[in-house]
Amino acid sequence: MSTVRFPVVFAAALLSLSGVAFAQTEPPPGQDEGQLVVDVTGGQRAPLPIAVPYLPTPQETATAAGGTGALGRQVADIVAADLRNSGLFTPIGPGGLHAVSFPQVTAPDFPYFATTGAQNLVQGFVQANGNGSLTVGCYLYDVAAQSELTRQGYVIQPRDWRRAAHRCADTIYSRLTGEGAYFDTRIVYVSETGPARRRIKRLAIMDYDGANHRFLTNGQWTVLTPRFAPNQQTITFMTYQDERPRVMVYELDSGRTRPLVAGPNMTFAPRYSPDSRHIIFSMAVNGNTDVYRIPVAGGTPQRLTNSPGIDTGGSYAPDGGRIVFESDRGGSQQIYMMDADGSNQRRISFGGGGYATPVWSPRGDLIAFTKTGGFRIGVMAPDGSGERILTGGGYAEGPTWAPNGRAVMFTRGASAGELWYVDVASGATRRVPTPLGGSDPAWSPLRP
Amino acid sequence: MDRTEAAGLGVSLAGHVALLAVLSAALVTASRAPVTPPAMEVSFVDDVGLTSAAPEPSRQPAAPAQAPEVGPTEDAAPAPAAPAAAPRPAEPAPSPAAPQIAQAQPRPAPPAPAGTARATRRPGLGDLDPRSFGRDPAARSVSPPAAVMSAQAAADIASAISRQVQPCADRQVYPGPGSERIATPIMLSLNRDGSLKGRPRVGAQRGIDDENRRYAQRVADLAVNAFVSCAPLRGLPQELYDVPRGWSNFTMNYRLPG
Amino acid sequence: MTRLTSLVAIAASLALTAGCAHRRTADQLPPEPPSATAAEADDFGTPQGSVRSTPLPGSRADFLQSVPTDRVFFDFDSYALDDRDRTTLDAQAAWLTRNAGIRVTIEGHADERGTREYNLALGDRRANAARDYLQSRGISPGRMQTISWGKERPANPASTEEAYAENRRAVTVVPE
Repeated sequence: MSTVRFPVVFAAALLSLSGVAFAQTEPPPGQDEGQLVVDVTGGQRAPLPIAVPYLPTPQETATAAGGTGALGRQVADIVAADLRNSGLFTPIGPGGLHAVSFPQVTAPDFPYFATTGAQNLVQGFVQANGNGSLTVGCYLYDVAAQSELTRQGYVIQPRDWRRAAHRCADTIYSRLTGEGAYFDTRIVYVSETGPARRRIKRLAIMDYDGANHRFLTNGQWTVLTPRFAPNQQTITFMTYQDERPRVMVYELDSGRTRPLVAGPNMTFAPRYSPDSRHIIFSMAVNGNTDVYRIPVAGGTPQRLTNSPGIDTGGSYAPDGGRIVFESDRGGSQQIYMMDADGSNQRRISFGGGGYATPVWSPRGDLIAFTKTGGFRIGVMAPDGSGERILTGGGYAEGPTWAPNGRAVMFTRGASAGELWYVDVASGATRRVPTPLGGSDPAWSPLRP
Repeated sequence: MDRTEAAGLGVSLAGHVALLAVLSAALVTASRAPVTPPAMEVSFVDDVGLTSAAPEPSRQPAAPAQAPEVGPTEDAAPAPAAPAAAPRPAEPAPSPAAPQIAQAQPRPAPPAPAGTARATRRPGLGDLDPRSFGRDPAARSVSPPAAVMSAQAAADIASAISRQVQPCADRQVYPGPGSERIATPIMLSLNRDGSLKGRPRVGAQRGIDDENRRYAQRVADLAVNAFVSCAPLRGLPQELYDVPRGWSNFTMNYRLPG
Repeated sequence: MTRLTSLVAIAASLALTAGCAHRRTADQLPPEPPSATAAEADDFGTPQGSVRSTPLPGSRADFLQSVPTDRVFFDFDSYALDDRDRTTLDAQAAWLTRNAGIRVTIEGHADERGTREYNLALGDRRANAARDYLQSRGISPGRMQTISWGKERPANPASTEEAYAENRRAVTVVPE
């Protein structure tokens, strides 16, 4: 995959365009004690109405990805879709809004947009640079205050135009919610088809919204539970190749695949450390499964747990200091925590019922899990408190976090799999479109 | 019908008529129902102004009032006209000797030519309407206005401002959990017509912790938006514009509902 | 012929098929298409001199003919063997003792009401429970391999209690 460049010089070039006047007149300082003070409390929990008109182009140009005018319309469609999919915005447009001319991009028609009911406004442009690359400009405005909130420019090769649209949506989303970004991400998952007794499972990778989908394996052998390395250079997964179920490491650039652990024992449930240098995994030896750690480059596994129960499903804290995992050493599946070297193991789930598949949020504040009585996705604080169930209505398992720690994707359906994601704060859910059935999703970090 | 029956009927009829007459008479002579006094506007004020908000008495010598009709001059010494100009019920001319507490703005009786004692509107407690705070276009007071805005007036103005801003505050979208703990003061400078002078200035926010820090900038946006969406403000009293603690510069404390 | 007689004749004919046994499909990859139920050729009315197929000693068919079943079943979330399981495994051990050169793979499976990774571990426990018992009956561990399929290979894809019970199994697979 080619990397995308966002040179600072283009941001400076954009700043040279006429901007909205942003003068602030200081009112004369008054004595605080003598000042009139008015208390106002108000707000609503509702999606934010935001206008997203089509992006104009200063000069219609043909590119490898289509004309810049058409790209401007498609970018606006993606920005509106991303914002809507998050559950936190009600986009107005792009269809049905007045066309925006290129000079208006930096001098918006605020009175018009105020009539649409929008509180905020996205404007931008798509322009072909002389050397084959494209520039996508992205501006965010406050309609009532008639002020610019932020602007950003992206330089991309034509084939990466969707990433520029996602980055623009990320900039807007972050500025208006205070949350981190998550639209410029990918999903690796298991694509499923065929009869339930003998499912054909293939590794597949796609943009988080389902675009740019491609298969990584051909379905000859069953594959399970793929995971992204934080540095996005490799993917680890479990395969039944040659009827030897074990963990493999797949290099994204070259496509080469190699086993992670030598030896005859089944290895499974792999996860990377935050620095991408180790993988923790489960290994079954003579009927007992424990959690181990090994360098990604290979080597001798280091044993982390040693209980007679089934210990599996480890996940690192974002600072790499602790690991959550599941164990039935106490008689039922529960969530445990330990230091990264395996010491100080203690149970943290006490809410009643069984807990499985714990995954630590990239923000460090929550642990997502599958509640086994009824198979729902939930979250809890790392000390086990504040448990909340996020999903209803049907079998769900196997959560994975978006990089901003605000959304969780999971598998819906015990046999016929579908991928869904849920916003942790608002509870809004959405299905991710896949060409076939899907399971075991893993969310990539933000792309560099 | 026989005679006894007819007699009984007649007696009964007469009794009914008599009763009707008595009751009607009673109705006619019943005194009128008491007139309900005009409603008094009440606002609750937490603090009581320690400084007198009473207007200062006029420093100008009171002009002698002239009665519209000059009665026969009695052999009275040219005493101050006060006793002779005792206010009569029919004459609403202000007495120069009586301090005019009820009025927000004192008007010394100008040396009026005879017969032109001006009827001034003396507001009573019943119509303490901000819009009429001493607003008399023809008045040309040369005496100083109230020295400070009273607690009562401040509360009234604060509540008038917050009433106008509330619908716009209610439209602000809650960004995320914990953002309701952030209080944002914004300093506002207004022109006399209620429009914003310059941009609001966001002051130091309170209530920020590790959990909600990510929302602080957004809550500041919302505070500014809550005000500017409902600007310009209307109907604020001119004479309280640039007094100390007046509404030319004030602070709005905004927060999301918890 | 009277109706009663016809009915008796039909019923008798139907009763005849009771002797047919279903040929079980082995649970092993690469997959074969599920074989249709094939009735064993029986001796009923066969003229003399025909060729009758018979499983070769040590083959899967021989194994399946010789033991009550090639699989044992487990309770939900359990890997404990019950008496019927042990009886089955005793018969399997006896056959394995008679066919000393045969190596087997013991598969462990789980039903779909469990998370994916835990079921891989549970299937491994079940496979090892069967293997350990066979070992205790004298079968050398070197002759037995285990593999867990978790919930990936249900014997019965339905979502009923009966189907789940069929899927919680350990299957002894003899090479063909």
